[in-house]
Amino acid sequence: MSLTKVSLIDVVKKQYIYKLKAYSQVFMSLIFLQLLAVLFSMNGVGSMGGSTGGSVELQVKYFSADFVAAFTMLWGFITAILITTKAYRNDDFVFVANRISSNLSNAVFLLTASVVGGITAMLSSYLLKVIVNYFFKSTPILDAPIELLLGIFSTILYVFLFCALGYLVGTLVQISKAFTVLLPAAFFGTLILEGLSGKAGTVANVFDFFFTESSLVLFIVKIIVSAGLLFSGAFVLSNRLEVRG
Amino acid sequence: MMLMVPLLITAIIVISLAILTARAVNKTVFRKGKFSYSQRVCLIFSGYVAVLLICVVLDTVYPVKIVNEWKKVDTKVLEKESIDLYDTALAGKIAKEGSEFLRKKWNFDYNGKQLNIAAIQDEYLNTSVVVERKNHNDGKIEAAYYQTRSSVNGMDITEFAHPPRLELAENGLLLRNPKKSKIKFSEFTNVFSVKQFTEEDFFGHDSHFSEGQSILYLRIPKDLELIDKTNINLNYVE
Repeated sequence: MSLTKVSLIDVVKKQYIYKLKAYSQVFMSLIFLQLLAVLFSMNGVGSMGGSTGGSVELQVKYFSADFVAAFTMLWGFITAILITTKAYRNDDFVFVANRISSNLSNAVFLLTASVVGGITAMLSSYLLKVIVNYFFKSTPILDAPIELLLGIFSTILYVFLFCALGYLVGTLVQISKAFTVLLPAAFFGTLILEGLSGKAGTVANVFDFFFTESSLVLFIVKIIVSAGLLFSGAFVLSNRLEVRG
Repeated sequence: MMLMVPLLITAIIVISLAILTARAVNKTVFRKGKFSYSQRVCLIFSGYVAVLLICVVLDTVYPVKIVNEWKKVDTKVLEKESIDLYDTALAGKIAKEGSEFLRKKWNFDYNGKQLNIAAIQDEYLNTSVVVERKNHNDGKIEAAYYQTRSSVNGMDITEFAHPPRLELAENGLLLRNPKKSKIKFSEFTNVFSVKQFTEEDFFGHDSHFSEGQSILYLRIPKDLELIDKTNINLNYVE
């Protein structure tokens, strides 16, 4: 029993600062993945070619930070799973801590990671631009203005959503290792079944729910509510984990 | 289904790479002490952000400027131009009202009563042929090629469109498609998380290409009979 009473916010704050340092290696994998994505994007993320039967034949190559954003989302997902593993969880008990403070500090850490991931992902589109512009000057370039702020904001939200999903998945796996097999099997199974039946099913609907939302306000609400639900789920489930003595 | 395979493979590669790196780094971290490592990460990360910011500055100071010579055009104006030119041609007023779209002129002397007109076999001719009969028989065929402006993504690329080739051979007037010009360019687009709000195609990338209306306008002597050999589809001025 402790003689001094520590407030929850203080503990969360301390844990969060500690985690920023202790989990800093996740940012190394972020750099690695983003650079890998930039490398993959250097040949263009899409192309179009064709002739209209007239005198002009077109060949267009498209460049964008699509891969970087997608890789960053995956990174968020994996990072969230990673910090739910035992090795990381035990770090929390360097401090006086309980499940609530541990979960909250994890959520704040993941939010920070999403912000860092989102910002760097969007900035990397400039890296790609400079590389293509200065090192591959073979073709003329049409330049569309990059919607930087909107890009950063929406990517942060997406990464955070994937973090929340990863956190729930990670927590489930910690409860029972059976989920390591069950979850991927359920996901890919549904995907394959939907693919074979040719009908839009659960995965497609969930995908549409977020990725085709054209209203920014609704999109924000959807992401915040979904991430909130996913985190709450994880918080509730984590109480079922064994108590560390 | 087939489309999913490369996606799945990429996802598997990326996930395994991320986990492997995280694990490898993780092992060394806990052996060497976290905080000295976190400082190193901080340094490397700052370096990475610095490189990204330098790129932002470079792009702002020296923006991509290669296609500056391509003028911006309004595609709606171009569409109207194309329709108007065709109507003008059929009304026989193209020489007056469509003069700004005149690209090339030919003059042939021909005194025969009949003239075969043919495109090179197996070639789809992208040019409309409009024929006007003169009021007299002067033994001259005047051909003029008109083309409205072409655009790609709102940029004027008319200069790349060549006129068709026209020859008066022994067996008649021969039409060939123009020499093809190839336009290669790269385009930077917004990331998908932006496109969903800007009503652009979310997954794909599309370029809007519109080739201008091309009309070969023939003025022939009054009594010359044209024989269409290859279904060119001749339109006569009303």
